[in-house]
Amino acid sequence: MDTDRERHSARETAFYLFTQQSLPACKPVLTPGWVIAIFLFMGVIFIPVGLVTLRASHCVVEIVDRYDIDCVPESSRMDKVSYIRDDSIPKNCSRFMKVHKYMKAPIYIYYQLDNYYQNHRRYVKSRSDKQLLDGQKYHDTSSCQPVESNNNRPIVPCGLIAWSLFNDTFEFIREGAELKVNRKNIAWKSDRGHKFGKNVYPFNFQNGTLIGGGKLNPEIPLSDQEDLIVWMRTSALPSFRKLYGRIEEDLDVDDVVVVNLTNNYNTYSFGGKKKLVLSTSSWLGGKNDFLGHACVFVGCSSLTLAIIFMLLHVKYRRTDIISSYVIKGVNRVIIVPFAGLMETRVIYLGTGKAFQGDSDKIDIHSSFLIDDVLDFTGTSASLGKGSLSDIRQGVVTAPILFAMEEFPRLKSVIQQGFDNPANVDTALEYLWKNRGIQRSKELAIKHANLVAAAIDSLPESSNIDVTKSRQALINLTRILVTRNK
Amino acid sequence: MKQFIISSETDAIREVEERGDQTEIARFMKEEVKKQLKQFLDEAPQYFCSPSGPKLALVIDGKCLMYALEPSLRIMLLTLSLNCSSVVCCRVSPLQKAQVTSLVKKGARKITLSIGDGANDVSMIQAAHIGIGISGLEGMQAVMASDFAIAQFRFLEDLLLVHGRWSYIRLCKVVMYFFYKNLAFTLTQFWFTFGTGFSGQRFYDDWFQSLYNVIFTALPVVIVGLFDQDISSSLSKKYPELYKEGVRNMFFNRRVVAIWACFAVYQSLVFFYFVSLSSSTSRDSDGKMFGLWDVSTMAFTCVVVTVNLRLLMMCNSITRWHYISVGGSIIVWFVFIFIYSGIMTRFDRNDNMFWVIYVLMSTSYFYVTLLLVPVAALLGDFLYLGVQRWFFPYDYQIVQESHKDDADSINKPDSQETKEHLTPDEARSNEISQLPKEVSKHSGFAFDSPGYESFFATQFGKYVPPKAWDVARRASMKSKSKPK
Repeated sequence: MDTDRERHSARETAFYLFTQQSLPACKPVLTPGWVIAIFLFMGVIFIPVGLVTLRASHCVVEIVDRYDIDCVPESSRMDKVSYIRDDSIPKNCSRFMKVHKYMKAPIYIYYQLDNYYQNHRRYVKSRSDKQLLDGQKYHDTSSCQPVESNNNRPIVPCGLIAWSLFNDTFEFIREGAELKVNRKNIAWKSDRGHKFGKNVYPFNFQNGTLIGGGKLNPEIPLSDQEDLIVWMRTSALPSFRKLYGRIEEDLDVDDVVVVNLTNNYNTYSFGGKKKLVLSTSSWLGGKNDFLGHACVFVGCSSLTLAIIFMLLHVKYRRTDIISSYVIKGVNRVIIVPFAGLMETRVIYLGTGKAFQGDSDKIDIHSSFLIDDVLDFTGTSASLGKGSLSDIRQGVVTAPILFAMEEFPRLKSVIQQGFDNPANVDTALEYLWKNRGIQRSKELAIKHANLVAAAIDSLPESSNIDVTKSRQALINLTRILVTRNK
Repeated sequence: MKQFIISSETDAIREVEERGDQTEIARFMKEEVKKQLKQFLDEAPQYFCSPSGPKLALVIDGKCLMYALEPSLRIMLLTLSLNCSSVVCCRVSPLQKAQVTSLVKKGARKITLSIGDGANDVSMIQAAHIGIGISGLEGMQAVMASDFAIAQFRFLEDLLLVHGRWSYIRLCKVVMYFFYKNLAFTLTQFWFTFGTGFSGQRFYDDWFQSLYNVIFTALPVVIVGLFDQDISSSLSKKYPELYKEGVRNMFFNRRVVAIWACFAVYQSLVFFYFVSLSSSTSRDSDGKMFGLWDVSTMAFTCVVVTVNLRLLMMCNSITRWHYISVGGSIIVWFVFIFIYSGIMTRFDRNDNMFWVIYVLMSTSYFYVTLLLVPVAALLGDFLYLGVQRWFFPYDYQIVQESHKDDADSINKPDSQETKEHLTPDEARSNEISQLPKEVSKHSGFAFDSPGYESFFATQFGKYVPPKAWDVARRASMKSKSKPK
C-alpha cells in the first residue's frame, strides 16, 4: 500500500507532470456557439461605450479660427516671408470669434500649427536636457548643434527646439471688457518641477543673425518659462495644438470675442498654417469623434457578425460530429452531419480534404454503406461473415444512425452498449420498424448517381480506352450499389 | 501478400559455388540477381491495377545485396523496393545497412528514419536523416550515435505519432508567432515615418525597442513551445492519420505565412492610426496636450497587450504557466514603465519618458483606448479563426471537437476513491488496482514487451494465442523475480 501511495504522490509532483508532458491544462475549443457568444458580448460592450464616448465628444464646444493668411495685409500677400521678417512693421491683428454654443469655464486656449514637423529626427534630437537642469555649468551640448553657441558663448537653452519658440500673443476682449487669461500652470507639473532648472536663466538666447522664434526674459528662471516648457514637449504629428492659456469665465451663446493677436511667428517659409482654438473639455479630453466612432464601429460589426453567424448556424446546423469509421484500414472517416443526416459531409483524415462530390471516394463511401445495409439484411451464407456482426461488435453503422434519428429512445439503448443481448434485440426491433435500412440504401444510390453524373460531366474524349474505362467505372458503381453479397 | 525473394541459397548458385572459381561465382551471382530483379520489376505493375490486390514484399539477403547495390543494378533495386510495402534484408553487414539507407535517402529523396540497438547499427543510424538508438542490453553504442534514444522499440510509435507531431506543431507556432509579433511592432514605426517627413525619427523609446523581445513578449512563446498539445497523446495514437499534416507541411507553407503577415500588417495599422488619431486632441484633466513620447507609450502598451493576447488565442491547451507568463509579461511591462518613468538620474541620455505613464494613466482616454485597440486589432484574427474552424477545419480540429467532452485522462486516480457512490464495476476495478503490483517483466531486450506479438494483431481485431516458448520464458522469469 505504501509503495502505491508513494507512486501516486510521485506522479503528482509538478516536475513529473512537466517531464511527462501531462500538465493539467484546459483545452478550449472554439465551437460555433462560442464564436457567436463572443461576438455578441463584444457588441453589447462596445456599442454603449462608443455612444458614451461620442456623447462626451459632442459635449465639447470648439471654435477654430485660421488667421495666418488673413492677418497679413493685402499689400504684402505676395511676399509674406519678407513681411513676417520685417521687424519694423507692427504685426497686430484683430479677429472676431463668435460663440455658437454655451461654453463653460475653464475654456482652454490653444494655438494649432499644421505642416510643422516637430517630430523630425534632427529636430527632436536638438536639445540638451542636462543643460536645462544645470545651465552654463554643463558643457557637453554637442547634441544642440547648430544652435549650440554664438560668438563663442554658450546658448542657454540650446538647441533647435528652444530656438524655434512660438511667439504669437493673444488678448481676448468681450463686450469691451478684457477676458482674463490664466497663463500659469499650462505646462506639465513634472516638467516644471524636474526637467527645467529653478536656477537656470536664459543666456545669449536668440542673439544670432537668424531669429527662429520668440525671445526669453533673462530674469525669469527656466522652470517658470511655461511657454518654453510647453513648446519643448515635442508633439507626435505634423499637425498639433499646444496650450496657451485658460479663460476662467463662461462664454454665452452669440457672444463675440475680439482677439487682438500679434502675428510674429513665421510659418510662411514652409507653407505652415496657424490657427487659434478655443475649446472646452470633457472627461475624455477634447473634441475628437474618432474614439467614439471606432468603438461604435467595432460594436456594430461584432453584432452584425454575430447575427450572420447565427443565421449560418441555423442553416448549416452542425450537430456534434457523429462517429468515425474505419474503412478496411484504408483511411479514417468522420461523418459530419450538415443540416440533417441526409446531407452528410465525409471527411477523410490524413488527406486534408472533405468530400462531397469527389467521385472515387464517394464510390467507396456508397460501397461501405451497402456493406452496412447487407450486414443487416444478408444472411451469413451469402455474406461470408456473420450477419449482424457490426452491431454485435458495437460498431454503429449508417442504418442505426438513421434509426436513431427517428427514435430518440434508441440512442439511450445504444449508449448502454451491446454487451447485453437484450439491447441488441431491442435495437434490431427499432431498426426493422423504421426506414433506416431503406434510407441507407437510398443514400448509397444517391451517391452512386452522383458518381455517374460526375463521370458523365467529364469532357468528351475520342480515345477509346478513356471511354471504355469510364463506362467500366459507371458499371462498377451500379454493381456495387445493387449487390446482394 | 506477394513476396519477391532474391536468395543466394538456390540450387543453381550452390552448384556454381561448389566449383570454387571466385570470378565465375561473382559473375554468375550478378547475372542471377540482375535477372531476378528484372523479372520482379516486370511482374510488379500487374499488382497495382486492383486496389484490393495483395501487398508486395521484397526479401533479399546479404550476398545478393552486395551485387544488387552495384551502380548498374542499384536503380532497379531502388525502383522495386519503393514499389513494395516492405523490404526485408537479412544477413546484411553494417556497411550494407548504411548503403541501403543512403540509397533510399538519395535516390527516393524522402526523409529516412533508421532505428537500431546494437553497435552494428551505428553506420545505418548515422546514414539516415533521423537515427534512433535503443538503449538496452546490447549496449549504448547505438544510443551514442543517434539523434534520439528510446528504451524500447514500441516507444517508436509514441516518438513519431505523439512527440514528433507535437514538436512539428509547436515549432511552426513558435516561428510564426515570432515573426508576427516583430512584424506588428516594427510596422507600427513604419507607418509613423510617413508623418515625420521621412526623417527617420523613432516612434518608440530606445529601451522599449531593446526590451520588447527580451522581457515583454519572450516568455509566453517559450511556454507555448514547451507545452502546447493540440490533442492528447492517447488520441494522437488513436488517429495516426493526423501525422500526415506534418508530412504535407500544412502549418508552415506560404499560405499560412501570408495570412499571418496580412494580419500583422492590419494590426500595425490599427495600432498606429487608432492611437495617433485619437490622441491628437486628447489631453489630461487640466488641458495639457500629449507629446510624442506619450503617444508612443500608449501605442507600445497596446502592442504589448495585444501581442500577448494573440498568443493565448492560438494555444490549443492552456496550462497555468500560460496564464502566469502572459499575465506576467504584461505586468512586467507596467512595472518597467513605472520605474522607468519615475526615475530620472544624472546618467540618463535623455529624459523624454519622465512621468509619462503616470500622466497617461490619470486620463480616462488611456483606459478607453486600452480597451478598444487590442479588441479592434484582434477582431480580424478572431473572425478568421472562427470561420476557419467552422467551415474549413483542419483534421486535428475535427478530432478536437469530436472529443472535446471526453474526461481528462490526467484526473488524479484518488478522485474516484472519494466519490461516495461507485458502480459495482468501478468498485471492482478500484479493488484490483489496489492489489500489489507485479514487478515489470521487461527483460531489457529492445524488441521485447509483454504481449508484443499480439499488439499489431489486436489492432486488426485478431486474437493470436501466445506462443508456447514465450509462455515458458515468462514463467521462468516470474520465478526469478521475488514477489514482495
